[in-house]
Parts: sequence; C-alpha cells; structure tokens
Amino acid sequence: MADILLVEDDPTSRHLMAALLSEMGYSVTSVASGDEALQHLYSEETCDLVFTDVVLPGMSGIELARRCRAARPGLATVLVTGKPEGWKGALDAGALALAKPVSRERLADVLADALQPPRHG
Amino acid sequence: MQRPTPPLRIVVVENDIDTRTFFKLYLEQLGHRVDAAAGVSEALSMLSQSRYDVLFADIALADGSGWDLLDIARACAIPCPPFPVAMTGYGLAEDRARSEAAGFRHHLVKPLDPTKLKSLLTEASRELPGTD
Repeated sequence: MADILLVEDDPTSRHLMAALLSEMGYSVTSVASGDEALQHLYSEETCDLVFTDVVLPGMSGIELARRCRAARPGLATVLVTGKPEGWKGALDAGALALAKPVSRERLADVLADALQPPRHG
Repeated sequence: MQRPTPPLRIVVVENDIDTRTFFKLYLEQLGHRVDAAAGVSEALSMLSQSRYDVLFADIALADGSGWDLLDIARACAIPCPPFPVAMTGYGLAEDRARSEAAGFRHHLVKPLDPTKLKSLLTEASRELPGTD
C-alpha cells in the first residue's frame, strides 16, 4: 500500500479527499499547508507521493513540489490544478498535473503513473 | 460483519468546486450514482429531471440557500429526495431548527466527517423501498 501525503487547506475538502484516497486503497497522511508537508518529509516519515492543490495559503503547491524534490529527490508529486499555468508550473517543478474537473478514472490513472518506479536506460 | 450499502442515487449541492468534486468522487468510490450541482437553480433542474434517494445540500449557496432549495421544490411540486441532509459551517441551534423546519433529516456541520457520512448512507439505504 503506497503512502500518500495529502496537502489541502480546506478542512472539508481535506477530509473528503483523504477518505477518497483511503477507499482507493492508499495509506493517507493529511496536512493543511506546505510547511506542514515539508516538516513531514524532513521527519523521514514514509512517503511515496505528495498530492497537493496548486493553490495553498502561503507556499504554493508548485513551490512545495520544488522543495519536496529537493528534500527527497525522486519523490512523486501530483498537483491538482484548474489553470494552464498550473500545468506548466507542475511540469517545471518535476511533478505530474491533474487537471480539474477531476474524474475517478483520471485520478486513478495519474496516481498509478506517478507511483511507477522510474524507468532507466 | 456490516453489509455494504446498496447503491444510492445521490445529488450533492455545494458551491465550492473542490469540495463538490471530491465529495462526488468519494461517494462514487463507495459505489453510489452521484450528480452534483453548484447552486439552487442547477439543483432544482436536476431534481425536476431525475429521481434521487439522497440530497446533500450546502446551506450557503451563491443563488440562495439549501433551505430555499427545499422550500422552492415543495412550492413548485418538484420531487425532493426522501433523505435530505443539510451541510453548513454553522451549528447554532437556530440553524439546526431552520434545517428541520425546511424538511432536512440531518444537519451536518463542516468539516464533514466521512464516518458520519457513511453512517447516514447506511441509514438512507435502510429506508429504500424493498429493503428491511
């Protein structure tokens, strides 16, 4: 079971997203900000993927993706975004973008892709 | 061992796009058929066209309130789901009383608790015709 670190500031969205990811078979840790997410990563807790909205108070999801990569090179990050600049920012930060509106099928596909081991050669 | 909840037809009315999206996906992941509306007008249109078992309606909507939704549906003879649930950030006694007066069976205070949601869905499914 992969461990997902979920970053979402709105409590209701966070609870529902965490419940959704749990029902999909993932182990979920939820935090409300980029700072809390980085604290989690610096603490060496297990984490296979960071799932975050682009729009967060304080540190944006794109900045968080950059810092996640610095903290744990190779860590998969998925950014949820509704705007083209979000997709570009995700790409530049080495993350995968999940475009709104989100469907269950697309969510499952993006998470599976992001959690695939890196290909070599 | 608890039996799985049979599939319900659910409509979610919520103005926040992220909450609406992930609420819908969560309920679908549990096996239910879900439509989602952003406000009162869109919800009334859905209720006019399809039959639902459960309604989850936010109270604060851009074009009215969840209370308005039930009041208008009743006044216009639009079929309302038999298990309407209000959702709001306010849990004052007067808010709960207003929800009850409008016909809501439950009044949930945000943030929503997924365990409570599951228990409400089980309760709703028990009331479906043909279930015991």
